[in-house]
Amino acid sequence: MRLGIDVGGTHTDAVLMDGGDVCASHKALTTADISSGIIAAINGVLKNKKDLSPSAVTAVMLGTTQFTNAVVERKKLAQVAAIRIGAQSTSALPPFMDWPGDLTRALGGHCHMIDGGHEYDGSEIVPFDEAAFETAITDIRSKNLKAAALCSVFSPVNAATELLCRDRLQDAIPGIEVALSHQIGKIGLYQRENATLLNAALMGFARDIVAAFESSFAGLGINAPFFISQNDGTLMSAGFAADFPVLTFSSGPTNSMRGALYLSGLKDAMVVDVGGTTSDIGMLMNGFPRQSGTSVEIGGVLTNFRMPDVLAIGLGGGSLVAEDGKTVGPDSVGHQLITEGLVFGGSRLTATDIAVAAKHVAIGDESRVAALKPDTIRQALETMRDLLGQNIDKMKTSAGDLPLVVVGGGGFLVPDDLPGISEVIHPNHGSVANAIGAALAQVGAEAEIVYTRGERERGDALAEVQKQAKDNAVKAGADPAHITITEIEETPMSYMAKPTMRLHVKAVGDLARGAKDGARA
Amino acid sequence: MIISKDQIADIAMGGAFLATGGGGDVLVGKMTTEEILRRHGDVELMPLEALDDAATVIAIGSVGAPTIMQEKVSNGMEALWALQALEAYLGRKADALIAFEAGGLNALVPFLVGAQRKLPVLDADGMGRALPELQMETFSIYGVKATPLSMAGDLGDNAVINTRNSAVAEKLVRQFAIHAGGGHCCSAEHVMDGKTAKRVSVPGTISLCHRIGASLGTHYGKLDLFLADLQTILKDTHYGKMKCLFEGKIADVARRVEGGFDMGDLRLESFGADKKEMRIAIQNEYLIAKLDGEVVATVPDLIILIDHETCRPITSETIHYGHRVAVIGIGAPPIMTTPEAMKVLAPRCFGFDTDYKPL
Repeated sequence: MRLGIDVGGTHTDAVLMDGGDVCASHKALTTADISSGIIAAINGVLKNKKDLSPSAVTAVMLGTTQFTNAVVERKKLAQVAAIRIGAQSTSALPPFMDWPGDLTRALGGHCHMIDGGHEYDGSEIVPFDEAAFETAITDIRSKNLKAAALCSVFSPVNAATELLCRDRLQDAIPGIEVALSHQIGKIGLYQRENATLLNAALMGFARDIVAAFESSFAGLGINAPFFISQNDGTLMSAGFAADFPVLTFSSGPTNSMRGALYLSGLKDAMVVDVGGTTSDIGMLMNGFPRQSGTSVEIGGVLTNFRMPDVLAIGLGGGSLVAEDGKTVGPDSVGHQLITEGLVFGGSRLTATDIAVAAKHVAIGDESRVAALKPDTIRQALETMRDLLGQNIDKMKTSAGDLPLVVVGGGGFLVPDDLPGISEVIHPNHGSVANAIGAALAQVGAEAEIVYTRGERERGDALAEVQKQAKDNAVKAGADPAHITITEIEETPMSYMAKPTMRLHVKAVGDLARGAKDGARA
Repeated sequence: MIISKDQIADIAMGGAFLATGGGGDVLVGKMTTEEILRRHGDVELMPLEALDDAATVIAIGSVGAPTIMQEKVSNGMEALWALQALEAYLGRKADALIAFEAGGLNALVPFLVGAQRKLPVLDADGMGRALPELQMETFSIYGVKATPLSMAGDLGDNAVINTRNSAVAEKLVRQFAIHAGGGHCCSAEHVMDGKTAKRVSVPGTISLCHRIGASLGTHYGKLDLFLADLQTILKDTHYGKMKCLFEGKIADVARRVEGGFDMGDLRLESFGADKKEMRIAIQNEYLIAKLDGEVVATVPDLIILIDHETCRPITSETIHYGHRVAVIGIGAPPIMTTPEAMKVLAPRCFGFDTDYKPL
């Protein structure tokens, strides 16, 4: 059986899955130390399923926002030596450029600009400046830094210098955490370097967290392999996550969409996750959340991460409703809904009160909304329908009607007839869709290559990059026998004499049985 | 007007807007320019009228694959080295710099050099937008020789060329970019006097970038307000009519590389029930827009795609399936629609079987 856990801002949800069935679920409050909230959630599940021995859990999958929060709150971050290789081609844009000052200070702002790096075709720009690198090592040692981020120009095409520097650094300074940019991001130096810097700053914390989780699980008698959700809806082994904590950024919305996918059985659908303050609208395409096309900022820093394209609108169970019903949200009573909403004995008119008055749901004391004017109720329902309908249509990228899967605690706000929607589905266990999404995710990995037509056959280049992606998936914990290529992105590079293309490939696979801390890349 | 690093973000954003889908991502250019101005100081943006007729004016900019510039993000010196090579060849110094292209990153390149050399940058350019080739600059169209032209790459390699015409120069610049800059170089070209610059340039385009960029910042995410403000801003310029041509989603993107150009076709579907369809042809830039089969806008008029939620301009390299956009058309300035200009800027010059159809 799989144990799925979602650590959210308010609730930590746990769900126990037997094959495809949800056996038990439990919502606990998220705690400051995270671990005790997780233990409470797991204990809740185990209590729900009395005949279960903890040893029956074969895998634990966890979605967490802790690493995102560490960056946003500037906490638990290590000081990092930023090492840029390719100074002579990039010196006008040094590391930490355009970062919020407090975050740069948290990482220490230590920069080393060194000559070297590669061209788009993998050839050297100029020879790597070994002497300058030795000076950098001496400086890092004297400052007693525990982490370094290596970013060499065009390292996604040729990673030799980053690998060489890592070996030298680890030989010279045993125990130093080293993040390599080619393992973290695509072509696009600035965004890739930013992600690498954040990753280096989080590696020590990630190692501690993963160890703390593992000991919590062991304390509960669960000795199963442990995986963490990535932002693209796939899993990585906990050991891999300790090396690549940035890959967990924004995994929450992804998990809720993956959960919706599973609970509804629909591979192509719109999804809305209705919470207390906001609704997140996304789209499932071919069984995966559609990814955002634009770069994503984390804690004020631009990265080139893969993120689900989710539109958050200010409508949730706690949204405040104007007296005439023409405005609903974005102001909300949020978590205070259970004390401030009319049906709960409070004095604020919320979206939940409207749903109760319209008899869409039975919560709290119905008599407390009996005096609401029918016009107000009708108008407020219409306002919510318009808000949801227009925004769902904005997110929909195909002309035909699609089903809408509703998850989250405030799902009763969603009407049954919306434009462009063939059917509105409220699946069982929708309120713990995030934890279910975590429990059911697969393992994914990516790889990238640049090739010139005429010099290299496309098929040959494609085969190489696909093999790389599959190898990376195996390293992340996938079963080599069950890996498929899910995405091939081919970007032409203009201005080249011969047609030059960038190939980016993503591989996704089922979890290998008994996988435990997949080999570190 | 004095341009400090605080104005660069707006000029960059406005440059991205006028780029009509080309010109690459301006983020990296914005940050490098801000850094260079921080190191070297402010730059004077000079109106054409204030320029001395006898002044030596040199056009500068960068040439290369946007994807490469995202990785080899520049050392801030390439354009200065190109200018120095040309000045050494000419035996005289520039008095003022002009952008050869106001669209995209190239709206900023003169400021990199202006800051380092304390030279004014003219409030004008040679394209009024972004276009793919050297011979499409108004300087060439109205008889200024592109060469002697100099080029410099990131390692300081440079060359000065003299060619029969702009088309040959264009080919050599591309080759230089590949072989001496790893796919990117800067060039200095179209040496002219102040009197000529006033005759052959598209006026007011850099301050226009600044105003559009500032408006995009003020009206972030408010499409109606931005469009209304844009209408007002354009009234004071040489540009023609502005229209919002379409609001919808990208339903299909087909792309390929031909002759070093990023070619493609976009299919858009309107929001809501009426399901109108727009098709847009790309050759680095957005060049032709058809609404339900009928041509509604063509080059040299500007066809600009902006994000429907943020109003930020979208480059043709990053446009993707499902992107929600508004399509804006802006009439080109008169200097770009004369019979001489039509010889190089009409849709047929780009291989389209249609004539210029003013907005």
